[in-house]
Amino acid sequence: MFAPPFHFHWRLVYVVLSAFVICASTAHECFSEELLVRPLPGGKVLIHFHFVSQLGSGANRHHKLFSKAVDQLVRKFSLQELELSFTQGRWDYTRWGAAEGIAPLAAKPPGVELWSRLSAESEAEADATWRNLTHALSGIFCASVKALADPATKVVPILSFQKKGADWRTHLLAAATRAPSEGEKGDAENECGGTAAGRTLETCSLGAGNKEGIRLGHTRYGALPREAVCTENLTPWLKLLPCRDKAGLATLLERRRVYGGSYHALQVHIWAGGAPAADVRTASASGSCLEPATGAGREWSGDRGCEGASSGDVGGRGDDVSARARGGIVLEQTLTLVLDVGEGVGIPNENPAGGVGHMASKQAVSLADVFGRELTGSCPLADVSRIYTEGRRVDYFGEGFSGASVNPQPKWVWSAEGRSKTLLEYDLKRATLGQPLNVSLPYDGANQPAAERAPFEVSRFVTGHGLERGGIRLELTRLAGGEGKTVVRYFQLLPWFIRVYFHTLRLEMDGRHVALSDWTERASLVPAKDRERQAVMELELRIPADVKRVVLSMEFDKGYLRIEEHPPDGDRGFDLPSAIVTFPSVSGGVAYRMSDGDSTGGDSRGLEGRPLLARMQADLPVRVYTSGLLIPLATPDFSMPYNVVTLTSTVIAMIFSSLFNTLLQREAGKPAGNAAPDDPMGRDPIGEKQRTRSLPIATLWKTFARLWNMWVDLTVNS
Amino acid sequence: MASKWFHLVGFVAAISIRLTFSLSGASKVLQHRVEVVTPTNSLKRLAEARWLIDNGMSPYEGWAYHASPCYVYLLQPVIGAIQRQDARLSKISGTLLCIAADLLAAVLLQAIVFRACKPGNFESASGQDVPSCSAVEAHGAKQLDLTSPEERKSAYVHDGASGDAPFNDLAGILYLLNPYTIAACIGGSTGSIDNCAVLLALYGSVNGSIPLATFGLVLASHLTLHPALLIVPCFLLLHQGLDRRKPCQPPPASDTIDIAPRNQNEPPTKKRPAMVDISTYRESRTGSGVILLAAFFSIGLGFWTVALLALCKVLLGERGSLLQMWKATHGFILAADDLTPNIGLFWYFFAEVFDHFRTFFLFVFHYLVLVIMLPPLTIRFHHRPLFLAYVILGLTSIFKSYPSVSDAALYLGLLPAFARELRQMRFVFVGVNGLLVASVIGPVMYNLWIWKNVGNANFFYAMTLVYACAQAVLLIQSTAAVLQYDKSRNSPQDLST
Amino acid sequence: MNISCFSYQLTYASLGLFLLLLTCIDAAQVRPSEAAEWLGVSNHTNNWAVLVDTSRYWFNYRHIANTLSLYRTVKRLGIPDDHIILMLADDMACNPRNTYAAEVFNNEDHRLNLYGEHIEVDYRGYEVTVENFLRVLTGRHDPAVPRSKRLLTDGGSNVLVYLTGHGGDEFLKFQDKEQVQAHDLADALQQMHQKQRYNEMLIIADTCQAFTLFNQLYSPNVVAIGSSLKDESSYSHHIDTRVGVAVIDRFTYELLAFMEGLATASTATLRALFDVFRFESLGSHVDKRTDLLRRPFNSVLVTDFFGSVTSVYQTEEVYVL
Repeated sequence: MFAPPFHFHWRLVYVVLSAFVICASTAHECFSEELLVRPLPGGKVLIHFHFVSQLGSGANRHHKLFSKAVDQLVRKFSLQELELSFTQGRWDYTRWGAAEGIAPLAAKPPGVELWSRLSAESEAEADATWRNLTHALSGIFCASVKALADPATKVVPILSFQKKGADWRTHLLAAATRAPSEGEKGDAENECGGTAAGRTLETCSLGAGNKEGIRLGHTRYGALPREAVCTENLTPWLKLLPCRDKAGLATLLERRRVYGGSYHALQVHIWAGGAPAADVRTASASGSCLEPATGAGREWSGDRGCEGASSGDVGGRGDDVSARARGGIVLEQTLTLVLDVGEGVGIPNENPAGGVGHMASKQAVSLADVFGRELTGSCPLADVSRIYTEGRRVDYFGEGFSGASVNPQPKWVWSAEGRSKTLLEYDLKRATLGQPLNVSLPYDGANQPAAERAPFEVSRFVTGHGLERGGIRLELTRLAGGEGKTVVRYFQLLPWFIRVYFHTLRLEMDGRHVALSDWTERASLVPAKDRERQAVMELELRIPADVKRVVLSMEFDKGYLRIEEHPPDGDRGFDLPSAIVTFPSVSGGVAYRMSDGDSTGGDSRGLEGRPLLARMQADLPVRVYTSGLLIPLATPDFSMPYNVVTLTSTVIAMIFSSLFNTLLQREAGKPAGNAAPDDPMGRDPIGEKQRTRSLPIATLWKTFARLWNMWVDLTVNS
Repeated sequence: MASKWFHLVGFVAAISIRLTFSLSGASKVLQHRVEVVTPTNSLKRLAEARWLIDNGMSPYEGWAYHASPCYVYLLQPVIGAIQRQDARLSKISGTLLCIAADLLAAVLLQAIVFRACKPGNFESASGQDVPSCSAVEAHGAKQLDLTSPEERKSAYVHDGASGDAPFNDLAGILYLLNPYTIAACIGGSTGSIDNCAVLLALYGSVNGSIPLATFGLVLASHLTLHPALLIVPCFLLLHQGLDRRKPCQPPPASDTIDIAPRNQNEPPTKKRPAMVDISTYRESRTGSGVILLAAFFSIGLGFWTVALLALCKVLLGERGSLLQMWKATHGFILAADDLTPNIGLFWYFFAEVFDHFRTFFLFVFHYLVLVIMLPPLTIRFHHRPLFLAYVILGLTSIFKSYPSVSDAALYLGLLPAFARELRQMRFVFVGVNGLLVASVIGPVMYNLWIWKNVGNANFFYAMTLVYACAQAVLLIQSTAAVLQYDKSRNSPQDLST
Repeated sequence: MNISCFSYQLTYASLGLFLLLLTCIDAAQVRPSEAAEWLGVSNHTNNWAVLVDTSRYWFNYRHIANTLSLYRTVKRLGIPDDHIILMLADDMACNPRNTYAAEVFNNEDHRLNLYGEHIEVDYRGYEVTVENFLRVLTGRHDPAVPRSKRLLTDGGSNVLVYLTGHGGDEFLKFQDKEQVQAHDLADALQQMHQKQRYNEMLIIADTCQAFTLFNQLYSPNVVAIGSSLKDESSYSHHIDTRVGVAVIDRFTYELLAFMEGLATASTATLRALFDVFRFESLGSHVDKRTDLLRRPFNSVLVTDFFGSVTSVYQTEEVYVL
């Protein structure tokens, strides 16, 4: 029906169409999906989904792949960086490790953890933005994230969660940590002006009022340990993916298995405002979009987008926003699961010597076993779609497996440097369409490699009993691989009603009490303010190499809340968010080098196009999240508001009325005359002895007065 | 009747009791008792404030500290010991300080009570000649034509010799041996020092020293807010001296009685006027004297206020502002945000009241104390300023936002000053037993709620109501007793004591 | 004679014409919506549902199952997720006490997993409060509240409100801490009427003494169905021994049994639904309030509230982006 009259119109159409195609191939939106499968001891397997969406620069409002909700989020709230996780279960650092590739990415505290760096002009604006951001996130992810909007949960971390490479502003509040002769350190690096002694919290806060505030950003952190995580959080998370759960790796997510495992962490990371930070990835920025890398900080300034929409200013807010928008946005969504290895495997016996219920060692476990579903193909919109299975090289290519180990053949084989781990890579884009791809991995229950643990084993718990006071104790025990590691960073936040006494902080090393100030490199201890902010403790401790056990303890008083401040299940108590222990001297990255594989095809041999490997290789901080704490508080009687008001008011009224009654006794200006001998008080309210009883109304008045006196006698004096 | 040795023995006994208790570990128990330690006078919070200062922050930065900055610097040895958690030393150092405060308070109290119960002589404690109500005397003397001092003396009915006031010598000892005072002393609170300041104000007023009185007032109000209500009784004390049975006015001419003549032959012509109160008091100033006194009083208050605020500003330095200090101390007492249980009426009420009524009821509670309580009492007892001070102290002990047993100790310590008047007090048994019940069962109920978790807050709340009622009974009955005493003394027929 | 007859006929005819004219004029005054009402046809343009569970704790599993049963039903009959406000006061599916992870059942045969794969809960946990419920109804939110948590109805919306939990005489308890009372609900609905936030509303309550919650309603076009009268309790249906608690209430069970037989284009009436409930099986008397409805109750279709209006226009042209 469309009959162009001239030929050159067709040519124009071809040109335009090819331009579209070229633009599409140099599209400023990319999406990659990856899956890592790793066996864990104890009959479990770790599954890590890794989805990365990228949006290039340009003020385009039409997106093909990138989620519009995230784009709007970044624009509206001027986000520089955001990290949100929904976690169910506890990461077992003992068995599953802490210090290697996937553990720093996968381990998160139970509940919700939200951390964000915002661009704002002032602290107040940052607070307002944070509040709106938490509301918006709670709408997007069907969670009660907006509970973090309460100003009483305001936390401004100073030492932790800062951009790597930024100046470490030190609010050195422990002046005693420095000898007086090192006065320079007390005065140094203080953008607030003045010496250490001259700072208060209001005047000195990272980014407040200084021109670097915008560059450094305002950091806010919040955690909700009590938040439930269930299917309703997964549904909107999947909606951010281009293929949702209809195609690609996300089709594996059978809800019962996903939520029936031992651990489940749903994470969203957003980077905006310029190139992703160096430690995130450059590989994915370049490789997953099938474009040559032009280095970090690649600007898309020339590209206005294929659809040709005019860019111009985004929201009319000014140069800052458009500058940020010009930088592009990276959205990384990960889902980490620790699931039991299929059915029929039985309860694993840790003792390889045998015993009842010993699990059959050396068997192959496939994705179909784990999820109960088969993978039928990759997401058509994804540029990259890969599966990695990890295990020991000998398990894959050695003897002892009855041919069930490697099927189908992987595309590439990677080796971890310095470790005996092997990564087999499968490229789903190359897989035969229509044929289910069932990747399996060998599972040797008896010979699992030891997890790479953090240098210290961390344990935090509450001491004391009763509803009045208690203590918190953090114990660090040096582990076998932790010799020589000396620096430990501790971050803890406490709600205002856990009234911790900072002067009771005690440090013990190997049982000996030592002065905290002697061993603290940096500290930021912010006391709480009732109903206004939380207490934040950030400590950087230097531990001598020969110390095996460090204990940090403090005392607190339990606060008393108003009746409406208690949650509906008030007798349960309050959950304290996990504390974070970071080991800066340990790097969590694992470098993978390709060792074998298919030399045909045009895939690069580097990390381009493998954002997950690039991420695992980066210098990730090794963090251990302690367990949360449940602290019961003393509750008022919830059924008694009216009663209490009435009772107290009655007592007060009675006191005052008796007082006035006493004060207003008829003053004996005249002689009392014949006071009744049985009335030592000589009360004569109506002066009956002075007056005649002529009026009948006097009788009534007299009766009333007598009754009143009786009432006063009975109530006050009984 | 009590000799100096008796006093010495009493002081030594008091000191040794306190030391014994604190060394045996009672401090550790008492410092957590909510009846003794409140958010406004806790030494542990003081240690926290010291820590904040040591680390470059204002002491009012966080949630902890709500008392004067002066404490942070003046109580350094105590705090140091607490911070170092040196158990033995911290036990003693706090106690020693409070023992000193208690002794000083006892001495001041003794002086006040002694002055109040002085037998009818015309010499004041300072040795100056204090004339009795000279107008009355002159008038009466003219009427009766009495000329000799002896006659003049005998013409007036004295308020009884010291034999009728058995406790005025023991006031200090009784204060020291009061279990409430002992608990406040060894329990890790600054209550003893607060009491000392209040007694300083009263002592200055009683002795007519404006600078001392104003200093004590300003200091006491600075430490805790409520002694500011003592401005009125202190002014009255300075103005007219100690308690009189009734305002000084000449007796009506008709109220005279016959005097038995010296010899039987003479007719009973001499009349002597009705009984006039001549217990030691100062000649009241009239007219311009009052204004002058008021001026000096205000100047004194202003001077000490400025000095104290300047001191606080110097102590706080650059860390905090005076506004922040005011918000954290007086503002905190007025707002009563911290709902830690104590022996008062505020905490549970404001834990349970609905949110939209909170401000209203807060206003009402403070309004009651300030407007409803103070003026009527002043009107009724303007001739008895020391008793007015006693009643005010008692009522603030009930209606403070954060009361503790040290407040009760204070006004109970003043009781011996009115031993004569309160002899006819009724319902003493009820009041004292109410106090005993609240003091003994209160901790038990608290334990059930907090430690055993088998009771709930209502148990302890009931005991706070009992405590309030018992104190109220005692106060109101003492008020009634004093009124009755005055009435009976002022009737001319009733001459016997 | 002829002339007189003719004149009589003329008079009658003109009178008849005149009356006809009057009727036409009168009829012309009738608005189409009123005509529709008179005819019994609903003229709503979109459907919304507000499904509220007010109880927490494991032993109130059945209330969450009730609400989720309704959720499944309205989704199945066509109301999309962004037109449903689902408020669940507690998490049952991923509750540590639930041996069936991510599954909520309303029957011990475990045939249906109510939680499904694509559930979206708008208000959950501590967010289910009386204040939030009334704010959802009246639309008076903090500016920061996102759109997915707002009831974005207009004058042409038919709204279904389903409340379940523990209730009493003229109140409904929220999370054991507070309650919403009949007059609060009535006033909220009146606000909705004044702001033209609904065309017609169906409120269903499955609580004890549920019908008393509707005693104070006074806004037009509201139909209310309560599962029990004053001084009557609504009972649970059966206990699932594997889950360990009762999994559905009788009223909702019967409601669901009726609904499962319907499809998107069903013409079943609310009357038919109402007639399903019998005292012998429920143990309580189900009652309805239809006096506020402007059209006859017998003409109200179930899909007027439980389903969704979707207009499909077919075109053969290519839609140019």
